[in-house]
Amino acid sequence: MMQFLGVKKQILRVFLCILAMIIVYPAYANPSLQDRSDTSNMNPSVARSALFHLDGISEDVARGDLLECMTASSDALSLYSRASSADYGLVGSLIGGLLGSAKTNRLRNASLQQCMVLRGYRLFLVDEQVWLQILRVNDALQLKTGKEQSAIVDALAKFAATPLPDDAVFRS
Amino acid sequence: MTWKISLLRTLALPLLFLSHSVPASAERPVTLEQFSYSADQGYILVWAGPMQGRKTFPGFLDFMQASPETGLTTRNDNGELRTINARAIKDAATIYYESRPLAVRDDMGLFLIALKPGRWVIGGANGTALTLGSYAFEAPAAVVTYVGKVIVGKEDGASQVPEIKARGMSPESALIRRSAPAITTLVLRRPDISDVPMEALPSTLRDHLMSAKIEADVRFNNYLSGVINRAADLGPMPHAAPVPRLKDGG
Repeated sequence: MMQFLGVKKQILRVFLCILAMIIVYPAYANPSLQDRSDTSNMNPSVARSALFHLDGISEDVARGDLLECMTASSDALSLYSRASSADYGLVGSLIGGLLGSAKTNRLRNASLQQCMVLRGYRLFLVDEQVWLQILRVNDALQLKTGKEQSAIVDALAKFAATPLPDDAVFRS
Repeated sequence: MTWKISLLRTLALPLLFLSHSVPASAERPVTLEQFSYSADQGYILVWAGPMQGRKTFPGFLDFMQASPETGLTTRNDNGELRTINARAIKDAATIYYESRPLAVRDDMGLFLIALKPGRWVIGGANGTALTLGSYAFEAPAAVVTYVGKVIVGKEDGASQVPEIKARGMSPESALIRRSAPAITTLVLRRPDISDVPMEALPSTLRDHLMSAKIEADVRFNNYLSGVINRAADLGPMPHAAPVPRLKDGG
């Protein structure tokens, strides 16, 4: 009897394993669904955008840091985001990543944030409205290639280099 | 209770598979039974962990061959870049959840990998690519290159390794974890041949053991298309070169 129960348990284990593989495989097979970050703690309804700040940094160095970190983060794009990149350019795609709360953007947001934090920047996550207000940008999602895109990087660099008041309360 | 653990293990396997695929032809660690020496091959020997008390490695640790000229990993014969998810990668080596160590000491496993000779980087671990700074070394043919101890950890403040724990304790780290809770890093304890238990090595290799000459703070492409990070013991990242503001209309 015990032997029979043992065999049953093994069959159940194999069945569960196959079932789990079936559930998981479509996501594995389709690279656009491959997001290696566990997003279980993320509330997708809250759009968050990042601001960076470092005391004593120059605007030009902050701009260089932002551009380099954006480039480094761009390879973390899913296929979906790579398509966006082809349509709107690298920076446009990354701005979409900064603003978006979609699952496919979280990986590159985290990569950009990690890259800047590793350079000593403080990180502020704010909601999209506050982000646009602070950077004095009307609608960053509609930005196209060229002048407007560099304007958003300029705005981020300016914020990064401008001394913050002691009572700055951007952190959410 | 036992059946719950068993169920969790059953479900964990496909989840690991999803989070970090092992390329079909990536080199994997060998056991003594599988081992055969070839003077045409390179070998790396590395302590990796923590093993978390398990018999096989509890995650993924990647080594990628990287071009010294371009810094890029995993190129095919046409010189095109491939990611680890593409088939037929020959320039990758992975210690993963089925890899059995030659020896275990202090919760670290000793792994031996036969691979293509050349310049290799410690690429990343558990779905995080260390493109913002890692370590490189040469693995010449017919030599067992001892890399040292690689300790992997999540940046969640729970690691026992001071450098990894410090990363996870910062307020910024807590914010980044909202998007990437499983962001991982590692530290490398430099190779010292006296750390290698000779009796654990195949006898044909004992005379070929050498310490790797480690090159620190090496950057490369995001071979995983995963979240990016930097080895925790490398310190802060240097700033980029200044970029002046474009003129209006530029």
